[in-house]
Amino acid sequence: METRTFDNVASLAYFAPELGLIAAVLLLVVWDLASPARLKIAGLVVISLAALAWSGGMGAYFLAKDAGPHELFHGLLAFDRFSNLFRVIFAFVTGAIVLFSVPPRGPGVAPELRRDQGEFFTLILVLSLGMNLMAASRHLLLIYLSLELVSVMSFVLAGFKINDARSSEGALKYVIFGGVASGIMLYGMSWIFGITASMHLGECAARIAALTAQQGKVPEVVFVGTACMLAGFGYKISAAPFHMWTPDVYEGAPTPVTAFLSVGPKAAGFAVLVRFFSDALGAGSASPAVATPWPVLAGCLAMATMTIGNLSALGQENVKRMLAYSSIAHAGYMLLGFSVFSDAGVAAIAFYIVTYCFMNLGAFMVVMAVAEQSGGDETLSAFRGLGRRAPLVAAAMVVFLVSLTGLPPTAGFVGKFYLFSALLTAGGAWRWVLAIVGVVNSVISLFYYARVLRAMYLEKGERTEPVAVRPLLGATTCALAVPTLLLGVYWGPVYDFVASSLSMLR
Amino acid sequence: MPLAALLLLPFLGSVLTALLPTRARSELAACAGFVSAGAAVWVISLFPRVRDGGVIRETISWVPSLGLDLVLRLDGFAWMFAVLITVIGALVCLYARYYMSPEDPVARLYAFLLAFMGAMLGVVLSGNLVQLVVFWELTSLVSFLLIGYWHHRVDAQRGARMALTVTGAGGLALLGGVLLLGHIVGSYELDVALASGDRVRAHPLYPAALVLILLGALTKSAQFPFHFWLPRAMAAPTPVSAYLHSATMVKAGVFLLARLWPVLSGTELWFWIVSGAGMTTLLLGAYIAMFQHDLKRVLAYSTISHLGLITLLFGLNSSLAAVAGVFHIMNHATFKASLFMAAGVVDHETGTRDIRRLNGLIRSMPRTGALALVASGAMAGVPLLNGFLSKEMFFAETMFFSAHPSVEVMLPVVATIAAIFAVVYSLRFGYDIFFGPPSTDLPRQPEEAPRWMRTPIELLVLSCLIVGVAPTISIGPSLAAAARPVVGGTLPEYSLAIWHGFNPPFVMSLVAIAGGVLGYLWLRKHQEQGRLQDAPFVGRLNARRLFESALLGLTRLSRRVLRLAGTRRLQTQMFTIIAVALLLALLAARGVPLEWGDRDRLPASPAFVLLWVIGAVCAVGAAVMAKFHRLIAITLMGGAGLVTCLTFMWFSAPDLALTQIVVEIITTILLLLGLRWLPMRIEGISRPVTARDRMRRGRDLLLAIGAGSGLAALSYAMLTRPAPHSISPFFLSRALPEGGGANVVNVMLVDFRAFDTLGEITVLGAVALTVYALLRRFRPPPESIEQPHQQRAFPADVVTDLVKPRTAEDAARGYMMVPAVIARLLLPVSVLVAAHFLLRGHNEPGGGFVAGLVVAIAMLMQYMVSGALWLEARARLRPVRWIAVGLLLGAITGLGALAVGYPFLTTHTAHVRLPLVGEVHLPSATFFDLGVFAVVVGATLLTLTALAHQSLRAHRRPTQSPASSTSEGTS
Repeated sequence: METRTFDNVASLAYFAPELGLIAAVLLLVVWDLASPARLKIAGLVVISLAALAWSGGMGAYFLAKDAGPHELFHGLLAFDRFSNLFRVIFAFVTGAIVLFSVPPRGPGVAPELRRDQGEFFTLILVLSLGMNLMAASRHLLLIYLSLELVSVMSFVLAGFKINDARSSEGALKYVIFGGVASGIMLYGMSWIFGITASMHLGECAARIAALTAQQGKVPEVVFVGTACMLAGFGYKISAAPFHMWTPDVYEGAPTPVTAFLSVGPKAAGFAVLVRFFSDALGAGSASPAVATPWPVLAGCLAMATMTIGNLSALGQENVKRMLAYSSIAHAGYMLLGFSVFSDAGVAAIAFYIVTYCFMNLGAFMVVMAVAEQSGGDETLSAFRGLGRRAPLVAAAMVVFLVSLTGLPPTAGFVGKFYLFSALLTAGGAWRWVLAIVGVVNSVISLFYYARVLRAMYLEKGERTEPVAVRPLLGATTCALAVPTLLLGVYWGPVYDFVASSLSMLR
Repeated sequence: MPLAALLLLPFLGSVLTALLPTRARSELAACAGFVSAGAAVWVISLFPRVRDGGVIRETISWVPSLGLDLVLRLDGFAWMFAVLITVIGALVCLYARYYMSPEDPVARLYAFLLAFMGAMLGVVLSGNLVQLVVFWELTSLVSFLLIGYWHHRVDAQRGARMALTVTGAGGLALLGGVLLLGHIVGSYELDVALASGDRVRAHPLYPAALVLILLGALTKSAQFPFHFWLPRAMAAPTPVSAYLHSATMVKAGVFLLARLWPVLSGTELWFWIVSGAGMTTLLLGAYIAMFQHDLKRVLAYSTISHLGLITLLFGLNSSLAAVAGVFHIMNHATFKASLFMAAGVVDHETGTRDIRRLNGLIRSMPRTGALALVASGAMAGVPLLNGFLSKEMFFAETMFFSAHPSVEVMLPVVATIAAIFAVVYSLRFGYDIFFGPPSTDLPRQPEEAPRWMRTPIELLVLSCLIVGVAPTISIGPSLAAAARPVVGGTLPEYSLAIWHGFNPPFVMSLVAIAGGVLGYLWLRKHQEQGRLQDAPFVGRLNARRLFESALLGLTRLSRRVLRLAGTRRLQTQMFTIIAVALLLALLAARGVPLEWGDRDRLPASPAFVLLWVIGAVCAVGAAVMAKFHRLIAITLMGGAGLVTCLTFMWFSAPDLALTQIVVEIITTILLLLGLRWLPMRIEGISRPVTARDRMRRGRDLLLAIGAGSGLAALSYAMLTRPAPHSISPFFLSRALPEGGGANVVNVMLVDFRAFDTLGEITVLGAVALTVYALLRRFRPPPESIEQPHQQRAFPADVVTDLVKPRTAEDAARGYMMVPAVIARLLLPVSVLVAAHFLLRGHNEPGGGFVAGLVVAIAMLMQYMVSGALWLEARARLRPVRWIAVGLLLGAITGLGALAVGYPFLTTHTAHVRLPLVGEVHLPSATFFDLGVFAVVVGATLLTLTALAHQSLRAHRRPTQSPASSTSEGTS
């Protein structure tokens, strides 16, 4: 089907998933105000899940129908397989988080999320909307706006534990850091706009290609503009040196929010990063005669990110903080695939994102389940003897951690396998260095993940009574562990589906 | 699908045993044993199909897109391994039934053992390299659980983690190597890889692939310098050791060496790495084994040494040596498994494994003793036992190996020395514990082991004997079948005879046995006198210590990185990110030199320069004072803002200046209101300034100056160029003819872009309501709700009236008296000014927005000087209504246009003649502007008075003294 550009009204049909989310946001506000207290949370969850099912379902429907590619709203938004794939991913992640955020019932627990449920779910849905927009933006301003939408929601969510000093501190740092990073990104955008006289990615691409052909190399201004934009993207995916907000925010925020931030906005950041590079810079299709600085730049980012992430995670006693650092490292692994600038690399990233959703969400979920039962203790000591106190949850945690390490037979192994194989197939000495650093990093990560394993199975905790994990949390955790394991054994269809869904508007 | 079923069987068994109750020991053992025995029978029955180089293949579609299939492949070599795995597995299951004590949760043990068996079968049956790595890592994971089975023991925890770390890391390296190999070959199929050895060896990536794959193999097989994890893993229960550390786990490494022998061997690099590691391990392992006192540690180090021997054989690049290697794999598996089991029996019956305490056990357990003696004879290489045969082959290989002369001499010497050591530790194992005067101080009275616990040992020792006595009949066909795929199809000439004549290898054997006996006597004499308790010379060369110090180093590095890159201090974070931005900008400046444009410039007048100097001083002052005195900082910021307004005026932008100044004022008020709730100053920040602080501040200053001047230069460069693609000419040319107004900005707001404005004022109203709602919940910290100290007491010089003494309340009022009068006087003037701005807005600077802000400011001043109670007692302000009215006005104006047939919000300009006033220019947009005005007034008042109201709420608290509730000054 040929690419068509729709005007505002005609676009709405293709914008239906987001419209559904917006409607749900409004509905949530009304429900929060008007509902009876007894039904309140159930209603909130149902509305949120319905909207997400609508959004993800529509994305899947578009994918199945092979709709598009089209340009929506006069070219502001792309409607292609790529954006639809991410619609599905984001809907899934957000749905998991919604389930994750259902507060425990009954007396005795001092839940951080019991208050302001309505606001909480509303913010989460708005964040989901922002992520959808991020993955679809084809216009510099819209990239900025959607990024800010996601950021601002994240700031609020990060500071949601209003009486917790750590939460407030994290949120405040997040705001300031995010503001500066966005500023630098805008600065970079202005450079790109300055040299291409357009904010539409497609037009930028044409102009940059013309300039590149004329000069025989990528103009320096483009390089600098892009590098500055990387500050904004890098902050979103928490790549070094823009990762510094991550540990504080992740540790301080409520655990569901942490899980969300470590998966959703990060995936969205990668989506926008990939789109910007392949769309505006034509990084994937550059002729080999023109030496581009992108592989080296992205490679440096990747190496720094995973090394810093892993080494920092090594000494952490707080499991949540450790996972925060390790999620930095995982961004580094994904950047490895990015540095190849090939379809295989992008497919590897997308597949890794899928696997990462399962394993990282799951790991955080276990942390939350454990912390709930140990009076908010998230350190290693709370995990001691978990293998006997909660066998099923502990077994799920083993699956998640093994997968995060990248060992078979789990999804993480397959994800890493694709990343490394994309890297090595591309060849070249530089890729070699990257691959070796990647492997060394995986080894380091094995070490700190194994500490949790050891605590769970080999050490004895102070308490030995069985842990009563909430059925909802337990069920969701197992539901995440099964695909983590399954994808490690039989991933063919999923990978094919992901890899075939990466065609985007250029 | 015989192979798939074979592979699935142990895993199914594992699940089954895990489900059985953990107390049902016999049932569990039977279940596990029958599963393994069934698998063993199954494998053995496949022998005819692989006997003559046949290969059984099964392909299950796995990841078609990547060309990855689940390939199961059984050739002679894999068959041999499968037999070892299943047969010894079955024996171990039987043995474990009697070894494990009733308290141990045996269900888990059997489940893990069977899972391990499945993983190991997966490794040997893999016909696909990636799949092999998958099962390889699986063995590491399961072995972690098996070694850490007795999780309450610290040594088990440490050993398990070390084993997992080392072998898991090796597995990751192997993955890299396999990917590379697949890349070179173009397929991950084992068959394809095996067929393209020449291409692989000639490829430039061969060294990298080789090193990575060898890292995987050598870590798994505990080869130097990775051997240290194996002795640590002895904390596992003995059945686990007998299984993992004789026949399976550690053999996976040499399995890989043999499997890829046709592909990778034959080069110098292969020779030096593989045989170098093998030789070092052979010697070192045997040497350390001599000095161990723990039975299992002796066996662990001897295993290391024997694995070194096998590795060395594969490293020699000769097919004959490879056959010897395969043979030794089989022999070692049988005698070492029986030895581990025997050691377990001794431990089980006596309660100790210390060789120094165990003596003369032959009397209390004659059968076990005899079995252990035969097995240790095989380990030592005594004739008529299987160990002798493969050792002879090894000696022959070292003898006839042709390489550099020094190597040629060294190899046989090293082999002989290692063999001497082997005899010594075999004697220590066998002779020391079973002969001599019986020990009396054992924890338990030793007696013969149960019948069925001995059976596995008997079977294994029996096979050692049969192979040793009649090798050609018993093992010949299997060995041929197993060795053929390893050497690439054509077997070299070899003879399995016991007697080859009086040749150099036999001499070496004799020397080894004689030297070993002498060495043993010598060592025992010294050890009885308390010397040589530990292996001399290699104490420093402790790889475990290396591993631990490497970990320690890693932890230190981690801490350093954390300090460097993981700072929690915002200041450092900001520094980094701004420094990076500056760096990037400088890079840009390198590519595109910064050039000033050629737009006409205005001459700089001294007054303007002075103005900007004042503005800059104010800005810098605000930055400096921000930390020390917020009020001053805000005032100075106001100064900088004022200079901005004046600059706008200077460049003939009165409307901009007007807007700027009211926004400036309203922002300052907002800040002042907010200031009320902040603590006066942060205590404890005034510590003495060190040189380090000065350095840091200097650094920050430099960065700030750099970034600031860079931005200034960029702005200058931009401003000196003509602005491209401006849409201002469009509006400039059409404002008057089409919008009917001379103030272009206002025409845009209320006419051209009126729809946007309507949206914006709606948002403004919503925001105001939200802020109001949020602030209703705002509870200021208790320390900031006290009265300001100026309002609490009189100044010293105020005279009080004796008749009517003044209270603190009066102080507050009196304090604000003069400003209050001025503010009240200003109110009507402000409203008048606002009306003026509003009415002339369409043509002159002004408009609804500015007018609204002016009114809001005037009202807020009343709040500030008189307090909310005073004001609200006199004026009924209803900000929410203001907002509503404004929005309605805007909407109605728009709809009015619709009603007369024009598009929404079209402006009509009417000219009305009024008495006295004259002609009035009255566009319909004025009503719209009026709406804007009302919304701005309402929203601003609502937002800011919400803050002000906090003082009311705070003071109304019952804990407060009633006196303070009447005066409501802020800031």
